[in-house]
Amino acid sequence: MVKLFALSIFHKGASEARLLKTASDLQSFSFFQRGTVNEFMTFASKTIVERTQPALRQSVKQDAYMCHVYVRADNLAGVLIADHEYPHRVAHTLITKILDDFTAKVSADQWPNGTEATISFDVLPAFLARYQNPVEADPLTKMQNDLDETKIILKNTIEAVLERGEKLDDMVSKSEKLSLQSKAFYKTAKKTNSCCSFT
Amino acid sequence: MEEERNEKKVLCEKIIQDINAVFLKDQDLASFEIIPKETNCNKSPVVHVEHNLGLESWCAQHVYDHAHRTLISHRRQSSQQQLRTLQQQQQSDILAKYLNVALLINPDVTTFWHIRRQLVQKNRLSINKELQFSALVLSIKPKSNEAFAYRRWLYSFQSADAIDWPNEIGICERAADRCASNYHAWSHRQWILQSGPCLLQSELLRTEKFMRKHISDYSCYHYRQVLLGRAYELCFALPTDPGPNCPSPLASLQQLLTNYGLRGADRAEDMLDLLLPGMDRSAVSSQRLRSFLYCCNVAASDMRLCEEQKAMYGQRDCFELHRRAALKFIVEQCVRLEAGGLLAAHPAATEDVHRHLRQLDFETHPFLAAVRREESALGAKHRRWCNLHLSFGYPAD
Repeated sequence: MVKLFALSIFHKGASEARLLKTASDLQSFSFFQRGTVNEFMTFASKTIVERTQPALRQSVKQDAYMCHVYVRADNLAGVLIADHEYPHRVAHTLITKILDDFTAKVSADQWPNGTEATISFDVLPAFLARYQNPVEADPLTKMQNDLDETKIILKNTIEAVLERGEKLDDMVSKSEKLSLQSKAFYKTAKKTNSCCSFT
Repeated sequence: MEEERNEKKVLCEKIIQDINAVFLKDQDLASFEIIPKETNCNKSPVVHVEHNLGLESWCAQHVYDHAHRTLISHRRQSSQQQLRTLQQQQQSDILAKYLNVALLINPDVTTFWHIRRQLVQKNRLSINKELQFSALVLSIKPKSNEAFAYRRWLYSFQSADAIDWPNEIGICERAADRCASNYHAWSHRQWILQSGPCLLQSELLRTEKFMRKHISDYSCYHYRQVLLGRAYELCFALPTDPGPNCPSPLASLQQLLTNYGLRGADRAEDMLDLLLPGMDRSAVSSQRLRSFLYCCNVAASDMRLCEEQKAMYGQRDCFELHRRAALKFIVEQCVRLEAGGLLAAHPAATEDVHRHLRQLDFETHPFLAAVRREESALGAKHRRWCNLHLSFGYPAD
């Protein structure tokens, strides 16, 4: 499937990344999963931004998903979670574009202390809907031919992004951002590793 | 021990009762799922939000065991006793309550579906409610063959006019969207195509959209090939005059001909001249020729779509295979129509098509000669495929 799930903008501070704006399209998940999936996507996005050096692009594969991340030299970061079939080059071009738009709309002094409520930048949902079809983005990608695909670092799991000694399981169980229900989901998903079985 | 078992039984009964209450209250349930939750938080595990029903996972196994045991003990009775249960509305309602829960948690038990069929035959369950229930099962298991088969069985009691076919297509599409390579959903859709009214035009539009999104799901590509074959078989074509501002209805075919180096075919007659040079056109109906051009145009647009997708997403088996299938369709239909009534009467007689192609003098057929020339540039593997399936007779590498 060619699909975009979530798009978020972070500011990478000294100790942790700060979520500035996010939008997601979770219609393809079953009703009661959506809340959890949303929490996990935000959790994964934040984690990956924190583990990515400034001025670096990464694409991290996790199960059937692909997290594309770009942290700019000025610490503004964009994360796009897509299906693994969504073209990487297009995904990274979109992140560049959305970060440029964001910079034009929101002045840099608001970034370090901003929250979703204080920052007015409401184009993410429209953006997410429009670029579900990567062909829509084609004129964009042509414009930005300078994006060098070889500079995107590919990682095969989230584990590969973590620092030495860090474990995803521990991070999930320690996280305060994830609800109990989400943690239960995580455990079940790990145990069965499939979407169709019942417990 | 005994007490504990009893307590569990009471709890399961209570949960099944709660689920049944939701069924009675909400006529438009859209989905069911099991919510992972490891512990009992001392409140009902049945969650009902905006027409979605959820059951917490900690109790699913116990509830299923209980429902299963009850249903199996019903089946263990003598057939007279079973019949008595089925004949009483109250008893049947109780049975249906257990069936609902058991099948939602585990849709793979044919025996349970069979009991439902018995209840329908005894008029204890309404067909509309049953259609709704099987759709609910598909929301948790989109690949449930039993649920699709049950729907087909239910429709056998209804006249084709009374069936909401677009809704049925929608159910197939949702199931295919949730689970890739969903054989059961796509073959159910083929059944709709065979039994329903003419849905060809909307299906051609829908499948193209689906293919653009699910680029590696070959089930959809295959369905589209069936669809195209069916359109040809039924002599389907859109009304000819599309209005002055529309692009030419045969633009894709024209483009294909140009790509093969055959320029200047602007009108339908020119294209027919190229595709069917040696044919007496008065021998077949004009509708046949119109449909021929229409279907070839769809195939040509599919070939182009596959090439565009390949440029966008890189090499995929699906693009390659579907492009070949479309090419094969065009070549075979050209040969069939030209060879006349004998071949056209047996759409399955591929052997005859091959014999004809082997004997064909390509010099006399500019289109096939051009296809043969251009396709040879696509590599040794493709040439082998052409030799095998189109009898192009390229020399062995």
